[in-house]
Amino acid sequence: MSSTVLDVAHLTMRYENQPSAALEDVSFSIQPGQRVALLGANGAGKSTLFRILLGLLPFHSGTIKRFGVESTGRGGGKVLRSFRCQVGFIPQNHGLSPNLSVLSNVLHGRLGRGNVWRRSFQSLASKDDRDQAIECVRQFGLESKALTRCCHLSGGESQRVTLARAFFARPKLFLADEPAASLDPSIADEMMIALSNQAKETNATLLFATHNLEHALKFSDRILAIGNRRILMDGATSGLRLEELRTLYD
Amino acid sequence: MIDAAQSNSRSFVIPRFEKPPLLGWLFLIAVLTFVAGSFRTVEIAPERVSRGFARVFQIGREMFPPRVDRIVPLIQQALITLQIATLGTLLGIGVSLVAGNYACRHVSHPRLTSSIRSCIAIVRTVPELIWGLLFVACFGLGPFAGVLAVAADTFGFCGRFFTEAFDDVEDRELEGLRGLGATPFGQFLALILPQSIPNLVHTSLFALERSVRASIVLGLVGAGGIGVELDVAMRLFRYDEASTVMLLILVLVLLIERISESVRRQIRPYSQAS
Repeated sequence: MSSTVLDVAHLTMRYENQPSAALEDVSFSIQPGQRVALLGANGAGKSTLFRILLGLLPFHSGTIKRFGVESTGRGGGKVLRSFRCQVGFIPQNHGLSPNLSVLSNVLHGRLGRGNVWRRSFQSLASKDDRDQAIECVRQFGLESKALTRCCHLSGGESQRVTLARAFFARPKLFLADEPAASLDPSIADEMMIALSNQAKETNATLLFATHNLEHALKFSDRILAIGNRRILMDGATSGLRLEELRTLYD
Repeated sequence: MIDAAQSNSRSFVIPRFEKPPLLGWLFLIAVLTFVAGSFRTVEIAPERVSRGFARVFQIGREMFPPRVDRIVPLIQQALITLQIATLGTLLGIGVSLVAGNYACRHVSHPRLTSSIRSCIAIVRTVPELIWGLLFVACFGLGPFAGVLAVAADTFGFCGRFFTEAFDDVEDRELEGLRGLGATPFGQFLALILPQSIPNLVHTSLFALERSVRASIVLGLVGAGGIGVELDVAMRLFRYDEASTVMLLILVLVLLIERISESVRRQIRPYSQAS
């Protein structure tokens, strides 16, 4: 059993009806406890990479080992689902259930494990689950909105619910696709601090996509940059300067 | 130069109608022949129409005043009709929800999805009266056959609309839960179902309104309820009693429509929000 969290080798992926590949010959591996920032311009393939890593999108060639286990392409197989249950996924579009309360949405963090009914609705949740979910909600300052339906939340509040849901999952790996995208600068900093601290405290690995170069320098110990469908840069954050990162967007 | 342009524009006439192709003419002739044949088949004769209208007025006169000496048993029958409609609708909705989950393209295998959809389509093509005749033949006269007929009819109606409501959820919205390891049923329960609730309530209320009307008609084939009373009154030429039954039916249908409208008003904010 490998100790690598993610091991991606020669990954190539092409969308249907697209002449060129979205990702081509992408290789990298991530070790446990690393905090990795994924940089790249809009449309560079960051979200595509996240979806492939989660098995939500098929890929054409290459291999992906998730926690040392290889599984190919899209599928709801046991191996893939077991991997997803260990992931705290923070999607760009939030992916919340709009007609359910904040608390119910936070409980969905563990929907893949245990009783589906009790982890779908806060009113049916066990006391232990409910208490932990409330604690996550409190951590993000949403306790007054715990029973508010998510369709009534602002973009920033929805983003915080998504983070709370990922925290409640108690994952081994956080996959955060632009976790601070819809937040104002001060709250964005707070959220990134919370995410980074949570990853440290729980010994979880963190892979986050961002356009905020300061966040990349501050909250990661390694930077992966995608551009022109390939990995442009893969190296330690220490010693890197903001100006050097800016060149990635030129 | 200007004159030439003007004369050109005068000679260029845009046709009001496009000339149909030969196939179009043939189709039109076939339709007209069919309609003319239909008139002959149904034997519409002016003499018959005038005689029928005279009979309408005569029956109308005999209907008033409505006879109320059997009002209590008639109300009881109206309640039975309501019970048939309610139970049948609930049963149909229950089956539609289960079938809808398996017919949902987001969480089900494509083969299972298409076979359940085909099954729903087959059930939908059979009218409720045929279901009534079938269930009366199988389970005997009475409300039970009515409940089953209404349930089958509701399943055909709700099954289709529930499935469409579930399909309306965007695949991308489900990725958040999929990425967290949610099972297909977990995705259905936690996102697809709650998001479709306003649609499901709307459809269910329409189904209830349809079922009340259907359960009245089902009485005519022996499936119980107030339809039986109407059938008997009309066959025995007791038009005054028939008018009482019709008024009760009117009250029943209006009552259900009012209740349904009020519930719809309550859930409107939820539909807008989602």
